[in-house]
Amino acid sequence: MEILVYVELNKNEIPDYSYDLISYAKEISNGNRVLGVLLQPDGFFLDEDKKKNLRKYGLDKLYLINTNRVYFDKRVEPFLIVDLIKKIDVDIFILTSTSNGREIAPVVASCLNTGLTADCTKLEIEDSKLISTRPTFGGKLMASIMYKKRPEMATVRKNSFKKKEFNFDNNLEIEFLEFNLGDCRLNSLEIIDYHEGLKEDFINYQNAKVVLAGGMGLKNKENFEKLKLLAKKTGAIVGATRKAVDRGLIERKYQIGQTGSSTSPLLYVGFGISGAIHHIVGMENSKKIIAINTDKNAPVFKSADIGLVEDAIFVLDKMLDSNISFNI
Amino acid sequence: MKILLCIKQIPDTNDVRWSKDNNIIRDGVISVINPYDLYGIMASKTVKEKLPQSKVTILTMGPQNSIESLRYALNMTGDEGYLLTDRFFVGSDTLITAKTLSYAIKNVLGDFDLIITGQFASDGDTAQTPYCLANLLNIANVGYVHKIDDVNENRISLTSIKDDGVYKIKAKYPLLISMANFEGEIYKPKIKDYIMGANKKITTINANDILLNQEESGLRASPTYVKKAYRPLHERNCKFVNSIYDLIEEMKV
Repeated sequence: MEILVYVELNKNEIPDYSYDLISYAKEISNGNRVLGVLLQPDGFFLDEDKKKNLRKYGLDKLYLINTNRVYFDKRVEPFLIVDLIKKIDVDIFILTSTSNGREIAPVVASCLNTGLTADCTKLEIEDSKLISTRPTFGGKLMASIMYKKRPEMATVRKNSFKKKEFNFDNNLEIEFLEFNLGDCRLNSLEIIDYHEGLKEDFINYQNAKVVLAGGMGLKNKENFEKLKLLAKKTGAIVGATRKAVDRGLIERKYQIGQTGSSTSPLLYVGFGISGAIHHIVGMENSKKIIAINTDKNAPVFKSADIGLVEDAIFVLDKMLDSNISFNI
Repeated sequence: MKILLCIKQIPDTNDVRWSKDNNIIRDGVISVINPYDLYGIMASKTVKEKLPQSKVTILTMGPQNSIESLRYALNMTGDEGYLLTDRFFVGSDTLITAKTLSYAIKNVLGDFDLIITGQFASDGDTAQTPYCLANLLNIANVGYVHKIDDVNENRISLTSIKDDGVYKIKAKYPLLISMANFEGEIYKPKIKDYIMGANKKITTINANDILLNQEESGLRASPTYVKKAYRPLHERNCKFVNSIYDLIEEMKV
């Protein structure tokens, strides 16, 4: 049984979420080999540090497809991967559930006529078979999915597993593969402009230490502005529930949870958040969770370590008045 | 131009109730049109405004009562509707759903210049079916579309927003686009729309009509299946504090 991992790049670096996925694969592999596929664009160089890291976090062998001989277009990736899987015959193929991973995976699955599970939060292997568990039905139901065909495929939500070090005494095996464009449909699309997005368009919840999140208990835009001010003063990052976003109290980029971002900071503080499950799935991996709500029976307290039954606006005002710092 | 709009009726995920043994109670749950498909509807309206000669067909696959969402969509846009329904389709996963849709398109509905879908369906949240469908039809696709910047008979200009940035894309037809958002307000149908919508033709088609045999459809053909489903528990032992001062102490991580 072999697991293939898609080693995704981010701005020509190997991001932590790719190492996380490699470690997750190794963790569940029962000692079997974990293989990686990396499509090497222009400007990327697999230096010794990267090789060491890939090995350290659990990768046994890397298939490196050099794509810089031609202008590299992201949309050819699924076809290159299909070509590889047909050649090496893996049992399991997993990708990170980034927008890129979620675009590549279904194309690969339909080319191979095999099963794919989206945005899983848990992977297990039983009797050499993959079981992928994911939230569904707006996060209200967890479903464990199994497969009738191979390779068994899944995209895995970021932060489902944290990278860990394995001790090996040999080096990473690397095989270079020919770039084989095969049959793909590039001619009808043309990317005429691309920009990374203004910094303020994207919020990096992955590296957040403290997240201060607001829900309907903050009632209006002014209080969300206060939350932003508190975050600015303390070096925290602001988050919000879907309902608050839908009601226009804060911009959509701040939405945490299903159909929004996931975060796992050292400290998460929820202001006036009731604890709808589609929000909880985006923050439940936080190290410490503090919740403030006027309703003692609000579901959010079931997911919290520390609770205060109080008006969140009142608490927010008090915190703004105090010189609070989070010591991080 | 020929446009196909794919929509899905879903159970309202805000209306979930639990039985004592932690199963979802499905009886009597409200059905709604998938919210992302409203973006698809608005996209098709945008194209139709620019190119009034276009013909918009709306396709939905699901149980018989999906006709309600199909009719609602027809009130908002489109010229005719197709309801693709058959008991053999029950249990189709994303791949087999895409395959079933592709059979309906190839064997009944015919070729389209532009196919519009929602990026996700809010009940499953997989976002896989549009990509599988485009691949099975062997046409190009653009996902995470937030805006149609321009459209003419030969090309469409799109804004697509992904994790890594904002893409401006020009594409030729045939093309499938999936809408993750829509800039602007969602149109609310008016009385005249309901009157016009009621006169639009809906054709019901089944597995036989699309030449898909039983072995290739539904749960039987699907490469994935649900082994178990359960209610998620997210319990920590919450310690309640009595004052803001105690609370702030707890925040010093």
